[in-house]
Amino acid sequence: MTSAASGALPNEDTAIPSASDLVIRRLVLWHFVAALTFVFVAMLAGLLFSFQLIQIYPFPGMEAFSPGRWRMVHTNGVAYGFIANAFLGALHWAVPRLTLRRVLSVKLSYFIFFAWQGVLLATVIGLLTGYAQAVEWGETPIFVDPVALLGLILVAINFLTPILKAKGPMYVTLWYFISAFVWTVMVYAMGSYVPEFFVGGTASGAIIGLFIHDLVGLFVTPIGWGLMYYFVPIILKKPIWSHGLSLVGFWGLAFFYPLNGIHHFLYSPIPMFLQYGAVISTIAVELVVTTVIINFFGTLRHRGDALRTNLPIRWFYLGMVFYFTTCLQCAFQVTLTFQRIIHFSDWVVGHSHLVMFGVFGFWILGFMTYLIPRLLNSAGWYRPSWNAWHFWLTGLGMLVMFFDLVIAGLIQGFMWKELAPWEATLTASAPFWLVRLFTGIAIVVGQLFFFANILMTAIHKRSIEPAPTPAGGELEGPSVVTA
Amino acid sequence: MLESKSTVFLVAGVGFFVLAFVVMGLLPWMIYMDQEEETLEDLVAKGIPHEFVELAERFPEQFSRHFPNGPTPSSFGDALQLGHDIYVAEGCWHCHSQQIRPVSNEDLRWGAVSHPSEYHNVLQRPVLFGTRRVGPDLIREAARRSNDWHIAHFYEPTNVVPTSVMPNYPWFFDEDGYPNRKGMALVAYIQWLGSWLPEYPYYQGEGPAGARSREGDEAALETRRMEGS
Amino acid sequence: MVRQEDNRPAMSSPEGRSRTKTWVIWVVAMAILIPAGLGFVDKLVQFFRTVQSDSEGAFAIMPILNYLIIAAGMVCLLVWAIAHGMFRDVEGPKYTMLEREAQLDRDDPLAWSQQA
Repeated sequence: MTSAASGALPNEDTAIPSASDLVIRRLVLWHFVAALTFVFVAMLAGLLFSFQLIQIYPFPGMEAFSPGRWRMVHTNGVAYGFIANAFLGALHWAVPRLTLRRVLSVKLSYFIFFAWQGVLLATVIGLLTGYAQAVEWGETPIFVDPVALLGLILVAINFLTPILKAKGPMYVTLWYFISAFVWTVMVYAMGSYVPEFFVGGTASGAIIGLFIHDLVGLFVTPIGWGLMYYFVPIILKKPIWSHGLSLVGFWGLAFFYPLNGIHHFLYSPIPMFLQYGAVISTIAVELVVTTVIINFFGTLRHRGDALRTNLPIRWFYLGMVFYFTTCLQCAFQVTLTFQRIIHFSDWVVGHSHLVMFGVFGFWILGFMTYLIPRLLNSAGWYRPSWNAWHFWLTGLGMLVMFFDLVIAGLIQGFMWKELAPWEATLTASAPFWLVRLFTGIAIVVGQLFFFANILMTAIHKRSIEPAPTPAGGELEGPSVVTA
Repeated sequence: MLESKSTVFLVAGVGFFVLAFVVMGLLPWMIYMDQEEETLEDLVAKGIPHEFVELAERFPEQFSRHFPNGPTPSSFGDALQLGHDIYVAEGCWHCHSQQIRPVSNEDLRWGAVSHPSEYHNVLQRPVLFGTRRVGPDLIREAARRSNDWHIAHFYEPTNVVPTSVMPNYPWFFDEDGYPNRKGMALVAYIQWLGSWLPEYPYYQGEGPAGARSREGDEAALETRRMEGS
Repeated sequence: MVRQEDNRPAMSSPEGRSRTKTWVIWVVAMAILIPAGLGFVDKLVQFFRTVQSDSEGAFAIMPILNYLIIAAGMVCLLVWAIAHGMFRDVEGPKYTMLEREAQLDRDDPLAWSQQA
C-alpha cells in the first residue's frame, strides 16, 4: 500500500541525482562520532557532579576538577557538543535528500566540522580554567563567542542555499529548518552579547530568560521536530497524518515560543505584567504542542506494531511521550501557583533533563540507530540486542531520574516554604540524589553498550543479504529488534 | 505567499524573533532605562562594609600583601570586582541564587524582597538571579556570618556544616592556610551582598566603616522607594 | 502532481459509529466543556472587574492586548491567504518527499528501510 516509487517526479529536473552524490556520508558519521564523544564527556561531568551531591567526590580540592566548573561542561557539552553535532550530522543527511541538492560547499562543511570541534574544545578548556560568562547555558567564554557565532552563520548559509534553491512547495521539515537557522544565529548573538555589553541589571535577567528559553525552543526544538517530520515518515513508509496540521504546529511554535522567555524568572524583580504575558503565551504553546503530538500519533495509527519491531521508531515515540509530558508539566509549572514552590528546586532540574535528554537526546539516539550501520557500510548492527540494552537502560534511567527529581523538588520546595533549616532540606534531598546517581550510572552504561556496538559494527561489517524478506515475514534488518 | 520561503525566513525567522525580543527583552530594558547603572566607584562610595576592614585587621600581613593600599575604597573596589569574577568563574551562581521572591516565606528566611534598583550596577551584568538553590540565597548574606565562618567554610564546608554538599576550595588559600587574594576578594564580595540595605548594620550591632546611622539608612531606603516607583 | 490515488489514506466511514458511541462522546464533551466554559466566563468577569476597579489593574491589559492584536493580524493574513487559494495543495509535499526518498534509496543496497 505504501510503495510510492512508481510515480515519476513531475516538475523536477527529471533525473534524480544519486544519493551518494548528494550526501557526504563520511561527514555525517564524523559528526555523529563527535556528538557521542561529547555526550560521554558531558555525562561523566554530570556523574561527577552527582557524586559531589552525595558528598563522595573523587577529586576533592583539585582546581581543574571543581564540580562547579564541570557542571558547566555538562550543560554546554550536551547543548553544543552532543545536540549541535548530532543535528549537524543529521542535517547533512536530511537536507540534501529533501531538496535533491548538495550543500553550498563540501569544503565549507569540512571546515565547519573542524571549526566547531575547535570551538567546543576551547569552551571546555575555557570553562575549566575559569573563564565562564554568567549566562546560563551560554557560559561559553567571551573570546569563543565570536568564533561560535561565525560558525553558526556559516552553517546557516551552507544549508539555506540548497533549501532556497529547491523548487516546488516545501515540506514541513524545511519550514522548521529555515527558521531554525535564522533563530539560532540571533539567539546566540543575543545571549552572548546583549546581557554582557548592552543591558545590565534586572533587564538583563529578562534577556537571559529569553536566551535560555530560545536556545531550547528556537534551536533544539525546530531542528528536532523537523528531523522527526523527516525520519518518522520515511521509516514507517507512510506520509505524515496531516501536512496542514504540521504547518499549524510550525506557525504556532514560531509565534508563541519566543514570547515565553521571562517565565524563567517569575516573581523576580522583572515587571509583573511582563511575567503574566510570558505565562499566557506559555500556556498557548501547550495547545500548539498538542496538535503536533496528535499529528504524529495519527501517523502511527494502524502501524503501532512498529513500536515493537522497529527500534528507531520506539526511540522517537518514547521521546514524543516524554515531550508531551514535559509540555504538560510546563503548562502547570509556569503558573504562579506552582512557581511559589517549585522554582529553584530539583523539579526544574528534572524537567530540563527530560527535555534535553529524554526528548531530543532520545530522538538523536533513534536516528543514529537508524543511520549508523548504513554510514558504516554494514547491512546491520553487530548485535541488535545490545541496542535493546541501550534503549532500556537509557529509557528506564531517564524515567526514574525524572520522577526522582520531581519528587525531590516538591519536598525541597515545601520544606523551604515551611522555613525548615537549610541543612534539613539537604538531609531530606540526600536519598533522592543517591537515586539520581544510580540512574545516571544506568544511562552511562546504556551508552557504553551503544558505543561498543558501533565499534564492533565498524570492525565486523555485515554483508548485504541478496534478497530482502518480503514484508509480513520476520523482519530482518539492522534497525529491527526481534522480541 | 504564506508558503514561500522568504515568508518563512522573514516572518517566522526574523519577524517573530524580533517581536519577542521587543516584548520580552526591550520592554523591561526601557522601563529601567532612566535609572543610571551604578559603576564600581558608585558602589564603593556607599561605604566599605565592616567585614572588609575586619579582614585587614585579622590577617594584617597577608592583607597588605594582597591589597597594598590597605582597606581603602580602591582596594575594596578591586576586591569586589575580583570576588564577582570568581563567583562567576567557579559557577557559584548555579547553586546559589541572588534574589528574594515575595513568596514561599523567603522574606522571613532571608530578609527584604528584592527590588529592581538593587541590580542596576556593573556587578549584576549579566544579572546573577540564579535558577537553582542547592545552597541558600546569598543576596542578603552580608554580615549574616563572620569572616572566619566563611573562610573555614570555603576551605572545607563540611567542617562547618556537616551536611553541606558544597565543594572544597583550597585554591583560595596560600600554603600556610591563610586566604589568598582570591579568598579575601570572594569573602569581601559575599559580605558585601546586601550590605546596602538598611537592616544590614543591625545584624551584628555595629555599623560599617563608613558613617551610617539608622536614621540615614531609613532615609536612604525611602529615597530608593521613591526612585523605584 | 502525478500521484497514485492509493497513496491517500482511506477515510474512515462514519457509518461504523454506533449510537452509544455518539452519546458517550456528547456526554464527555459536555462534562469537559461546561465546567471549562463556566471557569472561563468567571475569569473573564474577574478580569474586567480588576481592570475597572484598580488603576494599576489596567496595566494587566497591555500584554493581553499585545497578543490579541498580533493574533488578529495573523488571522487576517491567514484568511486572506486562503481566499487567494494559497492552500490548494497543502498535503502535496508529504507525498513528494516520500517518493523522492524511495527513488534515492532505489540504488542503495544498504537502504533496508525499503523492506519495512
